[in-house]
Order: sequence, then C-alpha cells, then structure tokens
Amino acid sequence: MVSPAQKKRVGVLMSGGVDSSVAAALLVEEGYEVVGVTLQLWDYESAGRRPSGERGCCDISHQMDARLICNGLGIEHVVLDLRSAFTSNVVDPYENAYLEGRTPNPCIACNTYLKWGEVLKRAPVFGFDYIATGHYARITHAESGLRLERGVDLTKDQSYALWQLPREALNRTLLPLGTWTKNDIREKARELNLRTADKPDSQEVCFIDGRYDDHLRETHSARVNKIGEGEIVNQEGDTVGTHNGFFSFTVGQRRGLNISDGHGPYYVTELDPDKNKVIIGDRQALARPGLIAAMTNWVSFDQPTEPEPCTVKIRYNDPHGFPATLFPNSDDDVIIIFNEPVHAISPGQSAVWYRGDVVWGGGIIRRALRESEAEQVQNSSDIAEECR
Amino acid sequence: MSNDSHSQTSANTTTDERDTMTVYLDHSATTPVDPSVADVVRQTMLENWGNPSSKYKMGNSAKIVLQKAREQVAGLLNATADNLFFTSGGTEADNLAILGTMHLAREQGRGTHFITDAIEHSAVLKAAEELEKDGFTITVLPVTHEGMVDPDSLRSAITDETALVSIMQVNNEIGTIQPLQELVTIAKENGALFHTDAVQGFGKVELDVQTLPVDLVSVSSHKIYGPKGVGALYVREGVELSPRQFGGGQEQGIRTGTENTPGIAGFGAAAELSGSRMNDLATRIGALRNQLLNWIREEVDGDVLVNGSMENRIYINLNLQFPDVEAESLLVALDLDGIAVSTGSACSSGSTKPSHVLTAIGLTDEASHSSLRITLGRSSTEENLRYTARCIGKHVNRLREMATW
Repeated sequence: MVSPAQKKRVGVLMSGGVDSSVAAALLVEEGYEVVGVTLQLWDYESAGRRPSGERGCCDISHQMDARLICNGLGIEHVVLDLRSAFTSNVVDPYENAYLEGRTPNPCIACNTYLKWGEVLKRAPVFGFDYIATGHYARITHAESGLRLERGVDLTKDQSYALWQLPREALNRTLLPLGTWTKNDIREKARELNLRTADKPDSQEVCFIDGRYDDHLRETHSARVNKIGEGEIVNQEGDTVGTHNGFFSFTVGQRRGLNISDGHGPYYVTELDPDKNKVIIGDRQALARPGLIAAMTNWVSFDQPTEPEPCTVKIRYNDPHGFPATLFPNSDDDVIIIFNEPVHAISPGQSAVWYRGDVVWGGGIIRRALRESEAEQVQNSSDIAEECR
Repeated sequence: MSNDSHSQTSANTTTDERDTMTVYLDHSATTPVDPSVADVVRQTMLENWGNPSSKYKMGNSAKIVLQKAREQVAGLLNATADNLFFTSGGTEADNLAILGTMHLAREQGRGTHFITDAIEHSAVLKAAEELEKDGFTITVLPVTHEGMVDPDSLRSAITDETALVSIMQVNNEIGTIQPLQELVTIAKENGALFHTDAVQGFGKVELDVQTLPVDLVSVSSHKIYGPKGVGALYVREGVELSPRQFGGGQEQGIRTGTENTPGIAGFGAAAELSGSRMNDLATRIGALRNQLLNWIREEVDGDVLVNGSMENRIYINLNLQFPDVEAESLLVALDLDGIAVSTGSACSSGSTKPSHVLTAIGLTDEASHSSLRITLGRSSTEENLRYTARCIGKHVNRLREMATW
C-alpha cells in the first residue's frame, strides 16, 4: 500500500520517554522515513546525580533509551548538540526571570527556541520534511489554514506549551499523539514491547537538580547576595516578616512565609523586586480581574481588531481555563479581562487563549490588573460594552 | 587501485530520491578489522586458548602465538621482540611509560621534572596531571599555529631535573608530524629519556628505533585494522620503569596479567599487513586526500581553511574549518548521508569545551566549533570521496545560509 507518508522524511524529537518513543513508532507504521533526534542540551555530568534515579527529561541514560528504541524500530538516530543555544535561550532567561521577580516556563522556551527554533531551522539541512514530537496536541486542517488544537486527552493536553510556535511551523510539524489518550499510548508501547512503556513521566526542570532557588544561590551568588534579605509586607504595606530573597517565591505560594499571627493562611500576592518585597494577603487578595500579556503570538487565528470572548489558561496545570474577554491593545500585547476574578496570576508565566479547542494565541503575563484598571478598560471601549 | 576485500563503498538505495553510500572517514578514531586479521583472532581463540604461562603443550602453543605477534609488532618499529610489552591499548601504554618512568626516576634520584606539549592525547595530558598532583613538576610546551612543537622551546624548558620528555609522533586531530629526530637529540643531550605516543603514526609513517634513539614508544592495534583492546609499549634495552599493576609477572613484570592472546595475535597480523602495504597506501591515500580537499573547495561556496600545517601532516588527515558553519550540525547531516566524520577527537566528545588541540594552535572557540576532522583509510576511493565532497558542499552552503538568518 502506498500512503502519502511515503518518501517523506520526519525528524522525531526523542527525549527517551514513552510518549516520543510511541510517536516515532506510529510514524514508522504510517510509512514515513523516520529519524530519531535526541537533543543534547546540558552537561549532565555537572548536574549531579540523584540517588532515586528520577531525572529530568533528557539526561544521558534517556539519550541511550532513545537510541535503543530507534535501533529496535530499525530507524536512524542522531544526537544534536544544542547546548549553547539551550543555555542562552532557556537557562539564562529562566534564571534571570526568577532574579527579576517573574516565574518562567522553561519548557515553553525550549519548545519555541530549541525544538521549533534551532531544530526546525536545520530541517532542510537534514532533509526533514517535518519534525514531530510526542506532545498531546493536534494540528487540524481548516479551509482558512492549519490550526493548533488541544489533544483529545484533556487530562494530558499539552497545547498550552505550544502557543509560541510560529504559524508557518504548523505545516512542517506532525503531532501523532494528539488523537490518543495517555493510557492508550502506554498500552501501545507495551504492545510494541518498547522498553520505555512503563517509564515514569518527567516532571521537573531538566537542568536543575533539586530546588531552583538553591541552584540560583549557587550559580548567581553575587546577584543573590546583592538582593539579600527583604521584608514581607501585607496588603496595607505593613511589615509582617522577612524573607531571604524574593526569588524563592511565586505568586500564589503559601509555603515558606512563616507568618503565624493566627489569621492565615497567607499567600504571596505579588513580588516587588525593585524594593525587594514579598507582598502577601489572604485568598481573597489573590483574586484579580484581568492581566496584560506581552510578546503575543497568534498561532491559529489573527489578532482580533475588536474585543472577543475566549477561554484563557494561565498555567500549565489548569485543565479548563477561564472564560474571558480579549482586548487587543497593541501589536505586541493584549489585555485579558476574566468573567470572574482569577487567583494567582503570575508574571512571567504564559497566558494562552483558546477559541473552543483551538489555540488562538498566547503571550507572557506582564502583570495582573487591579480592579480599577479593569473597569477602566471595560468602560473606555464602547465596542467592549456592545460585546457583553 | 585498492583490492581490499572489506571495501565499504556499497551504494544502498534506501529511497528513490536519496541515494546514500556508506563512507567511513574517521580512521583516526578507529579502523575496521581486516578480515584476514579477524580470521587470525578467531583461529587463536579456538585453537590456542591455552594460558601462555602454562608448562604443557597448550601453554607452549599459546607462547608461540605471543612470540610471533611480538616479532611482528616489534618488526614494524625495527625493534627486538624482547623490548616490546603488550598492554590493553595506547592509553595504558602511555600511562605506563610516563608514570612508570617518572616514579622510578624519583625513587632513583634522577629527577622529578616531566615535559610534554599542549596537543598530546589526553592519555598523556591526564597522566601529567596525575604526576603534578603527586608532587612532580610539569612543563607543557606550547605549539606553533601550524601545530608543531618548536625544538627551541624544548631546549629552554629542559633542565638537569628533567627525567622524561613525551612528545607524540603524529597528532590525532590535526595530523601534524613532529620533528622527533631533533627533539629526541635535545633530550639525549640533556640526559632525559624520551617517550613518543606513536598511536596515530604506527603502521603509516616510518618509526625506526635503530635510527631514532627514542626510549619508549606507545602503539595501538585498532588504529591499524586490528582488534580493539590491544596495544604495546616499546622500551629500549636498559631503560627501566616501575610497573603500574602487580600480579603473576607476565610481560617481564612490566605489565602483569594473563595475556589477551587472540587480540595480541590479531595485532601482530595487523602490524605485518600494515608494514607490507605502508608505501603503496601512503602514495594512493595521500593523493586522494589532496584531491578530496580540492573537490571540497570546488563544492563549497566560500572559505575552506585547513587547521595546522599541510606540509608536516600525515597523509590520511584533513582538519578543515568552515567559517560560520556549525560543525556539529554538519556531522549530523553527513551521518544521515551515510558519511562518518568527527569534530574534535572522539575521546573528548561529551564535553562542551572546544578541542584542546585546536585551542592550542590558536583557534577561537567559534573556529573550533566550525572544524571537522576527516581521516581517510584503506576503504577510501575516488567514488566515495567525490560523494563526500558533494555532500559536504551541499550542507556547508545550506548551513552558511542558515547562519545568516
């Protein structure tokens, strides 16, 4: 049987985990000429060893797993050394974000700048017609063009992590797992007798062993010392405690505050890196009406010219997202006003807006809006009024 | 032309559009075992499995196998078989020569100063680091931009305390051939012993211990189409060193442990074969190497630079720099075309640092990361090298376009 897949060469990015292993196997079954590509992103020797054997997504033993999977599938496997690009595009921005009071998404940066950046850029050199990954998301065809959509397994959906893909990358990308559930993938892996079938999913940041703030204290001691100790203040601005560096905190965090005045629990509601302050409040204070997202990317549909309803996810582990209105603001940023206030909006994280299951676009959260600002946005626009 | 039975030029058509060839061009990393050598290894395993130290027939036949191989390997150095000691490879031979000589020299009060140079293999440089930790004094000579050790730098570094000088015959990355005759003379005049790591030159470039008064020579089997895991150290008559491992006293106690008879037999066969073909191969491969460089320059738009001296270079080696091209991606693209080459030396891959050899000849980190090592061998033909040049040209041109994005 001759399928359209034949003679098309696909580079499958293989971390050595079960998802990308099955992705490679499925593409082989479909008749593609498949090449396994494992990225060498980090000097794993220097990352230390963890006795439990639990590691990030791409250390050396995982590289070997990918090689062995490819060998079993009868396909070629190559290792692409992208260590310096990874350091400058993922690790450095990650560390800077924390030290500047933001909460980064390094996996999204890795997708954008490494997988769909450095690798896709090299695709013509390697003769790849497509690159593929084991992400749970779909690329669908519509008359207007290709669209990025949630995976059918909503509990594993990873479309959030792909919002920054350039639109023109979609026609050179294959996401074979988008129509599968995680359970079926594990089942398929067992059926194919893949050695990675029962490998645990990777959870942690692959280049850090242990806590990120300990890592920062070690690698950026000068900057960390300069930041020094600071005050923990309440919503009224009264000092209620001290902290050992604002970068150890993230908006919404409860642990590590050590405030026991009997009125808790307290949450971090904001970080003020300029004044080295961690601002706390009760759960109510964590709720905000909207946000500004910058560095926007419109992966499936264009930026609207008028306010439009949408659903917005503000963190990775946020299965459904929140109904909201999107207000175009400039070429680079948008304002999102939620239908109901939302808790723990963290600057630095990605906000991703959906139209149904389609990833419309996304941006990096610059900051949460205050009540008065949200009202101003809604009132200043007659069009916005009509829309509601 | 070559009549090698293991010629690797099989064109395999995996798809209609992508005709690929398998072209091995990393002969400085290792070489394919010659089929006739593999026969000797197999035969020795099956027929001469006795322990060479045993005093009955099976032991005797194994002893004969070892002696024959010792004569074959020693013969290629024009040395006496009794002065050749088998090891597990080039690394062990280097370590044994350097650590063994220096420790004995210190015990005997002959000095604690060791001299080597910046482009040695890690087997030498890491041994030097160990000596330094152990209280010895180390001098690492610089090399010129051409990748040559300047005899004057040795003259000014050497002292009465210098017990050993270790300078390689042929560099593994850039292929430069050092002026050993002159360097050895300087060492001798100053009463120091001289070791050379001849792993890359052995069987390709003549090294005659009768005319070159070198004291210690390290060689390896798998670089000359022999099996892996076997090497040898030549030790000039009268030169002593303290062993690094202790046991039953094999190899005159210098390298104890039951001998790897099949591997050693294979090494002997490979050495004899290399000796008989040395001159023919040098002529044929040297000409092909020069043609390959021309073809690459025809295919590549823009600069193709040669790292290190082209004149004082072993005939199998090309170390090329393609400015603005990331060599790692070039290696992967060539691998997908069936072509095996390397960036830096295989032993240092997995480290993020640029090659210490390229750094030592003055290349910037960027230039090092744009450099590719191509090393030819018996299977190299005009056909597979033309294919290689075409592929290199195609990828380098594309990668250069990419770099300007």
